[in-house]
Amino acid sequence: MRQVGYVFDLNKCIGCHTCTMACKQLWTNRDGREYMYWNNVETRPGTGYPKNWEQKGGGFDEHGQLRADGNIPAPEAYGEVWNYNFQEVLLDGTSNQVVPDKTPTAGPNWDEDQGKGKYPNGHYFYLPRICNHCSNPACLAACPRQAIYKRPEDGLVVLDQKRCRGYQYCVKACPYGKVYFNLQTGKSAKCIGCYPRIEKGEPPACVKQCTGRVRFWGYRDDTNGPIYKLVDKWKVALPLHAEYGTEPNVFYVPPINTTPLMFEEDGRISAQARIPIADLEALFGKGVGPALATLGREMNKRRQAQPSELTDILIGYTNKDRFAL
Amino acid sequence: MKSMRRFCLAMATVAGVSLAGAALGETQDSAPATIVVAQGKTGALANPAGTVWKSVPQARVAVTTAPPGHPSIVGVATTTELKAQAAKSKNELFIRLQWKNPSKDQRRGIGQFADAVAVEFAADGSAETLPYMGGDGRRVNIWYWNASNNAAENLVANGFGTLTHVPVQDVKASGKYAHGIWTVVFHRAVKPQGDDNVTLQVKPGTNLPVAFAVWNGANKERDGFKAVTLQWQQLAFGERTQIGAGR
Repeated sequence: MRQVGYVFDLNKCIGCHTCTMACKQLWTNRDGREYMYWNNVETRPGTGYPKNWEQKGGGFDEHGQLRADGNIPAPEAYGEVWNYNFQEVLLDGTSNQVVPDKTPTAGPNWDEDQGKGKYPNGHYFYLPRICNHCSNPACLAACPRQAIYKRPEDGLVVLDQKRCRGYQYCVKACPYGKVYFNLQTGKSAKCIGCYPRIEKGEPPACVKQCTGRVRFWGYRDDTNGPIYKLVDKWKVALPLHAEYGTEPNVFYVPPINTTPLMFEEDGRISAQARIPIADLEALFGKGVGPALATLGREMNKRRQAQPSELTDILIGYTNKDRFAL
Repeated sequence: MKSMRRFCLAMATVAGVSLAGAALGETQDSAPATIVVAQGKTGALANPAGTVWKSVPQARVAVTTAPPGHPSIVGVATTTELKAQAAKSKNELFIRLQWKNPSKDQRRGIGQFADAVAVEFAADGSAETLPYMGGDGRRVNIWYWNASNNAAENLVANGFGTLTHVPVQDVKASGKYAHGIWTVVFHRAVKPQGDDNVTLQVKPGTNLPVAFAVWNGANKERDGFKAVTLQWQQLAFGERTQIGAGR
């Protein structure tokens, strides 16, 4: 089986949500999928989408057994739909303030830019998330009906709408909260990796539309492609929560100096990074330190006008450089 | 002799299943129920609340948590008993099921499941077929009712995880909820349409194996997380019981 992979360079993500909107326009703005964000961008540190997805459980235990402790997120964790009292304010004249008829407690992008830390040392970064198209998908393992399968030609994890009967074991099992339940069809739904685009030689919409050129796409076994080079050769792109045991195929270049170094109390700039490395390791594992060291070293080379394959790849000058179809 | 051999095989299957149930700490203490098929007219029988059902014999059927067939399926089902009745007109068979369910769960949503009930037949009418969704080429025909749409679905399976919606949807069902009890009536023409459906054209004096499953939506029961009969029950076509003849 061939396997596609994605690399998202978090140093370049500006949180513009163009990826989210590209996906939504293409796949989730209709037919019961309206509440779903197959692609979302969340602020880190933060609760994410669906809210507190890192506490939802699922995935595999240390023995490779499917964990039974997963939860199906509550509807409010995705963000509820509410209406405004436009009738009262604009037509009836019985109120002079536009207010929602519900008090939402969560939603996509709910805690944007809040981050952590106090002025002047606050910090945050953006974490774009899609289905990880895992090599060992918990959603697939959890489905008693074999409704979920990996496409042999690209390893994309897809859900057969004809086989699905809406049991939601996949929603429960995905530790990333990236499988959803369609309220209209009564079946589960998830990111399809834009396979109809791939079959026509186009990268996924979220990848192609990224204005920050954050996203790299290609086959894992293409040793000339950006995915192999960033993940396996340079080892600067790391999986998100590898400990969940699903072998994700979306990799992240951890943020380095996306915020300035810490200010000392007297206002001088220290040598200490604002984002604690422990926070990054909690997401991307122990590879963070070596990855940041490599990134720093290669960036310094360029500052000294020396060549660096790594920084050239990460700049991603052209579509051809970023997408190895 | 042939029927005796079948009976022995069926009992062997039942014994195996009972042991599996005991290993899971579940109880299976009741003999298979015999549900006597009464004769009647179609119109009133399709109504779950039809008074005609008061004169149809009723059998108590024990159900218990199904042995889990997949790591995803965990939990203890809440329903312990069904009441089953059956009646046959010239062209149709009716099966009426009643069970206690503390809440009326009709909505399906995110993490939300509706109450449901199902009747299972061996597609070839043989008790040698495993009541656990069939298998090894021995198919089962399942009539499934879900409270979310109050309608029947006709399904077949040939082993765990193979449940399939079939093209011929000739089963009808209707359910009513009152005083903490669901009452659902299934009915279908005795003559099957298509190759997937069980024949209900049974010779008088013979029994048809039948099994049942119940899902309590409030307990998040769905799929293999359900209360089931751990062995085939008997749908007895032999006694020619007339509606109105009493129990």
